[in-house]
Amino acid sequence: MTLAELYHLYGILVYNVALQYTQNKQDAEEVTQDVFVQVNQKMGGFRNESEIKTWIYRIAINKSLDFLKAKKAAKRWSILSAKNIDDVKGVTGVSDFNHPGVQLEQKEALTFLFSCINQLNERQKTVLILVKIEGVELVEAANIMELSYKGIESLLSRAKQNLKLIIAKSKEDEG
Amino acid sequence: MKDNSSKYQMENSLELLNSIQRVSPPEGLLAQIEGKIEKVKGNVVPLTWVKLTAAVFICVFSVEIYVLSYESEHDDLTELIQTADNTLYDE
Repeated sequence: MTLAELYHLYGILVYNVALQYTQNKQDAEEVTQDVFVQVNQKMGGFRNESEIKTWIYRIAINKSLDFLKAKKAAKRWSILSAKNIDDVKGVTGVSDFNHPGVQLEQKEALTFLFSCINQLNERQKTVLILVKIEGVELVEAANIMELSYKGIESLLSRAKQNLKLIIAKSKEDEG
Repeated sequence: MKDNSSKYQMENSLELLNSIQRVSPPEGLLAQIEGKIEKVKGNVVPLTWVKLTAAVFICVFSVEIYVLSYESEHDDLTELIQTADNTLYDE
Protein backbone atom coordinates (compact mmCIF):
# COMPACT_ATOMS: atom_id res chain seq x y z
CA MET A 1 0.00 0.00 0.00
CA THR A 2 1.35 3.42 -0.95
CA LEU A 3 1.47 6.46 1.29
CA ALA A 4 -1.24 8.21 -0.76
CA GLU A 5 -3.55 5.19 -0.37
CA LEU A 6 -2.94 5.08 3.38
CA TYR A 7 -3.57 8.81 3.60
CA HIS A 8 -6.89 8.49 1.77
CA LEU A 9 -7.93 5.66 4.09
CA TYR A 10 -6.72 7.04 7.41
CA GLY A 11 -6.03 10.76 6.88
CA ILE A 12 -9.37 11.81 8.41
CA LEU A 13 -8.91 9.43 11.36
CA VAL A 14 -5.42 10.74 12.14
CA TYR A 15 -6.39 14.40 11.71
CA ASN A 16 -9.40 14.03 14.01
CA VAL A 17 -7.46 12.16 16.72
CA ALA A 18 -4.83 14.91 16.59
CA LEU A 19 -7.58 17.53 16.83
CA GLN A 20 -9.08 15.93 19.96
CA TYR A 21 -5.68 16.11 21.66
CA THR A 22 -4.46 19.51 20.49
CA GLN A 23 -7.86 21.21 20.00
CA ASN A 24 -6.12 23.36 17.46
CA LYS A 25 -6.24 23.21 13.67
CA GLN A 26 -2.61 24.16 12.96
CA ASP A 27 -1.25 21.83 15.64
CA ALA A 28 -3.39 18.95 14.34
CA GLU A 29 -2.03 19.50 10.84
CA GLU A 30 1.52 19.35 12.17
CA VAL A 31 0.81 16.16 14.13
CA THR A 32 -0.85 14.58 11.06
CA GLN A 33 2.25 15.35 9.01
CA ASP A 34 4.51 13.77 11.65
CA VAL A 35 2.29 10.68 11.83
CA PHE A 36 2.44 10.04 8.08
CA VAL A 37 6.19 10.69 7.96
CA GLN A 38 6.59 7.90 10.53
CA VAL A 39 4.06 5.70 8.72
CA ASN A 40 6.08 6.15 5.53
CA GLN A 41 9.30 5.17 7.30
CA LYS A 42 7.93 2.04 8.92
CA MET A 43 5.13 0.76 6.72
CA GLY A 44 5.13 -2.77 5.41
CA GLY A 45 4.79 -6.11 7.10
CA PHE A 46 1.13 -5.75 8.02
CA ARG A 47 -1.21 -8.56 7.18
CA ASN A 48 -4.65 -7.01 7.43
CA GLU A 49 -6.42 -3.69 7.56
CA SER A 50 -7.37 -3.84 11.25
CA GLU A 51 -3.70 -4.32 12.13
CA ILE A 52 -2.78 -1.21 10.14
CA LYS A 53 -5.63 0.79 11.69
CA THR A 54 -4.55 -0.10 15.23
CA TRP A 55 -0.94 0.72 14.39
CA ILE A 56 -1.89 4.09 12.89
CA TYR A 57 -4.09 4.89 15.90
CA ARG A 58 -1.13 4.18 18.20
CA ILE A 59 1.22 6.41 16.17
CA ALA A 60 -1.39 9.20 16.10
CA ILE A 61 -1.87 9.00 19.89
CA ASN A 62 1.87 8.93 20.63
CA LYS A 63 2.67 11.76 18.23
CA SER A 64 -0.14 13.90 19.68
CA LEU A 65 1.09 13.33 23.24
CA ASP A 66 4.70 14.04 22.20
CA PHE A 67 3.59 17.22 20.47
CA LEU A 68 1.73 18.42 23.57
CA LYS A 69 4.74 17.68 25.79
CA ALA A 70 7.04 19.62 23.46
CA LYS A 71 4.59 22.51 23.34
CA LYS A 72 4.31 22.58 27.12
CA ALA A 73 8.09 22.59 27.47
CA ALA A 74 8.41 25.41 24.93
CA LYS A 75 5.72 27.38 26.76
CA ARG A 76 7.51 26.89 30.09
CA TRP A 77 10.76 28.03 28.53
CA SER A 78 9.18 31.16 27.05
CA ILE A 79 7.71 32.00 30.47
CA LEU A 80 11.16 31.63 32.04
CA SER A 81 12.79 33.76 29.39
CA ALA A 82 10.05 36.42 29.42
CA LYS A 83 11.56 39.76 30.36
CA ASN A 84 8.55 41.29 32.05
CA ILE A 85 5.08 40.46 33.31
CA ASP A 86 3.42 41.56 30.05
CA ASP A 87 5.43 38.97 28.13
CA VAL A 88 4.23 36.26 30.55
CA LYS A 89 0.63 37.30 29.99
CA GLY A 90 1.23 37.08 26.25
CA VAL A 91 2.46 33.52 26.59
CA THR A 92 -0.20 32.11 28.90
CA GLY A 93 -3.24 34.28 28.32
CA VAL A 94 -4.03 33.37 24.73
CA SER A 95 -6.52 30.56 24.33
CA ASP A 96 -5.40 27.92 21.85
CA PHE A 97 -8.86 26.40 21.40
CA ASN A 98 -9.53 26.26 17.67
CA HIS A 99 -11.41 23.02 17.01
CA PRO A 100 -13.14 23.04 13.62
CA GLY A 101 -15.40 20.14 14.62
CA VAL A 102 -17.05 22.14 17.40
CA GLN A 103 -20.21 24.04 16.58
CA LEU A 104 -20.36 27.69 17.58
CA GLU A 105 -23.25 27.29 20.06
CA GLN A 106 -21.35 24.59 21.96
CA LYS A 107 -17.95 26.20 21.79
CA GLU A 108 -18.03 27.65 25.29
CA ALA A 109 -19.23 24.45 26.96
CA LEU A 110 -16.76 22.31 25.04
CA THR A 111 -13.87 24.68 25.71
CA PHE A 112 -14.58 24.24 29.42
CA LEU A 113 -14.99 20.47 29.09
CA PHE A 114 -11.73 20.12 27.14
CA SER A 115 -9.90 22.25 29.70
CA CYS A 116 -11.03 19.69 32.30
CA ILE A 117 -10.16 16.68 30.10
CA ASN A 118 -6.69 18.19 29.59
CA GLN A 119 -6.07 17.90 33.32
CA LEU A 120 -6.49 14.11 33.26
CA ASN A 121 -3.44 11.92 32.93
CA GLU A 122 -2.43 10.70 29.46
CA ARG A 123 -4.09 7.28 29.62
CA GLN A 124 -7.37 8.55 31.06
CA LYS A 125 -7.46 11.32 28.47
CA THR A 126 -6.75 8.81 25.70
CA VAL A 127 -9.52 6.43 26.72
CA LEU A 128 -12.06 9.28 26.83
CA ILE A 129 -10.98 10.54 23.42
CA LEU A 130 -11.12 7.10 21.86
CA VAL A 131 -14.38 5.89 23.37
CA LYS A 132 -16.40 9.05 23.92
CA ILE A 133 -15.30 11.24 21.01
CA GLU A 134 -13.98 8.89 18.35
CA GLY A 135 -16.65 6.30 19.12
CA VAL A 136 -14.20 3.41 19.17
CA GLU A 137 -15.58 0.15 20.61
CA LEU A 138 -14.17 -0.88 24.00
CA VAL A 139 -12.60 -4.02 22.51
CA GLU A 140 -10.80 -2.00 19.84
CA ALA A 141 -9.76 0.67 22.37
CA ALA A 142 -8.34 -2.09 24.58
CA ASN A 143 -6.38 -3.37 21.60
CA ILE A 144 -5.06 0.10 20.72
CA MET A 145 -4.03 0.82 24.31
CA GLU A 146 -2.71 -2.73 24.80
CA LEU A 147 -5.00 -3.44 27.75
CA SER A 148 -7.42 -6.20 28.63
CA TYR A 149 -11.17 -5.61 28.32
CA LYS A 150 -11.49 -5.33 32.09
CA GLY A 151 -8.51 -3.00 32.18
CA ILE A 152 -10.04 -0.60 29.68
CA GLU A 153 -13.38 -0.69 31.48
CA SER A 154 -11.80 0.27 34.78
CA LEU A 155 -9.61 2.93 33.12
CA LEU A 156 -12.71 4.49 31.56
CA SER A 157 -14.55 4.44 34.85
CA ARG A 158 -11.60 6.08 36.65
CA ALA A 159 -11.35 8.68 33.88
CA LYS A 160 -15.05 9.53 34.30
CA GLN A 161 -14.70 9.73 38.08
CA ASN A 162 -11.67 12.03 37.89
CA LEU A 163 -13.29 14.17 35.23
CA LYS A 164 -16.33 14.56 37.47
CA LEU A 165 -14.09 15.80 40.30
CA ILE A 166 -12.17 18.17 38.03
CA ILE A 167 -15.41 19.60 36.62
CA ALA A 168 -16.80 20.13 40.13
CA LYS A 169 -13.58 21.79 41.30
CA SER A 170 -13.36 24.03 38.24
CA LYS A 171 -16.98 25.13 38.65
CA GLU A 172 -16.33 25.82 42.33
CA ASP A 173 -13.26 27.93 41.45
CA GLU A 174 -15.23 29.84 38.84
CA GLY A 175 -18.19 30.47 41.10
CA MET B 1 -30.22 12.19 45.25
CA LYS B 2 -27.34 14.65 44.97
CA ASP B 3 -25.12 11.86 43.68
CA ASN B 4 -27.71 10.93 41.06
CA SER B 5 -27.95 14.48 39.81
CA SER B 6 -24.17 14.86 39.54
CA LYS B 7 -24.03 11.56 37.66
CA TYR B 8 -26.69 12.89 35.30
CA GLN B 9 -24.70 16.11 34.83
CA MET B 10 -21.61 14.07 34.09
CA GLU B 11 -23.39 11.97 31.46
CA ASN B 12 -24.72 15.22 29.99
CA SER B 13 -21.20 16.59 29.75
CA LEU B 14 -20.00 13.43 28.06
CA GLU B 15 -22.98 13.55 25.68
CA LEU B 16 -21.66 16.92 24.60
CA LEU B 17 -18.54 15.18 23.28
CA ASN B 18 -20.73 13.25 20.83
CA SER B 19 -21.70 16.52 19.17
CA ILE B 20 -18.14 17.07 17.94
CA GLN B 21 -18.20 16.63 14.20
CA ARG B 22 -15.63 14.78 12.16
CA VAL B 23 -13.70 17.10 9.92
CA SER B 24 -11.60 16.50 6.86
CA PRO B 25 -7.99 17.59 6.81
CA PRO B 26 -7.28 20.64 4.65
CA GLU B 27 -6.53 20.10 1.00
CA GLY B 28 -2.86 20.02 0.24
CA LEU B 29 -1.91 18.30 3.46
CA LEU B 30 -0.79 15.20 1.57
CA ALA B 31 1.49 17.37 -0.59
CA GLN B 32 2.92 18.92 2.58
CA ILE B 33 3.53 15.44 4.02
CA GLU B 34 5.29 14.34 0.84
CA GLY B 35 7.39 17.51 0.98
CA LYS B 36 8.33 16.80 4.59
CA ILE B 37 9.29 13.21 3.70
CA GLU B 38 11.56 14.49 0.92
CA LYS B 39 13.10 16.97 3.35
CA VAL B 40 13.72 14.20 5.91
CA LYS B 41 15.28 12.04 3.17
CA GLY B 42 17.54 14.93 2.16
CA ASN B 43 18.72 15.39 5.74
CA VAL B 44 19.64 11.73 6.19
CA VAL B 45 23.35 10.92 5.64
CA PRO B 46 23.66 7.83 3.36
CA LEU B 47 24.69 4.67 5.21
CA THR B 48 27.64 4.12 2.83
CA TRP B 49 29.10 7.46 3.90
CA VAL B 50 28.69 6.54 7.57
CA LYS B 51 30.41 3.17 6.97
CA LEU B 52 33.22 4.78 4.99
CA THR B 53 33.87 7.40 7.67
CA ALA B 54 33.87 4.72 10.38
CA ALA B 55 36.33 2.58 8.39
CA VAL B 56 38.71 5.52 7.84
CA PHE B 57 38.52 6.42 11.52
CA ILE B 58 39.29 2.85 12.60
CA CYS B 59 42.26 2.68 10.19
CA VAL B 60 43.75 5.98 11.42
CA PHE B 61 43.20 4.95 15.03
CA SER B 62 44.89 1.54 14.55
CA VAL B 63 47.89 3.13 12.78
CA GLU B 64 48.19 5.64 15.61
CA ILE B 65 48.18 2.90 18.25
CA TYR B 66 50.73 0.87 16.30
CA VAL B 67 53.08 3.84 15.86
CA LEU B 68 52.80 4.82 19.52
CA SER B 69 53.51 1.33 20.80
CA TYR B 70 56.47 0.97 18.40
CA GLU B 71 57.92 4.28 19.52
CA SER B 72 57.65 3.43 23.22
CA GLU B 73 59.53 0.19 22.67
CA HIS B 74 62.45 1.91 20.87
CA ASP B 75 62.58 5.20 22.64
CA ASP B 76 65.99 6.91 22.39
CA LEU B 77 65.41 8.83 25.57
CA THR B 78 65.17 5.72 27.70
CA GLU B 79 68.59 4.66 26.44
CA LEU B 80 70.15 8.00 27.39
CA ILE B 81 68.89 8.10 30.95
CA GLN B 82 71.09 6.19 33.36
CA THR B 83 69.27 3.81 35.50
CA ALA B 84 70.48 3.12 39.02
CA ASP B 85 71.68 -0.41 39.32
CA ASN B 86 70.95 -1.50 42.82
CA THR B 87 72.12 -5.06 42.47
CA LEU B 88 74.57 -6.01 45.17
CA TYR B 89 77.82 -7.61 44.18
CA ASP B 90 78.60 -11.00 45.58
CA GLU B 91 80.84 -10.60 48.54
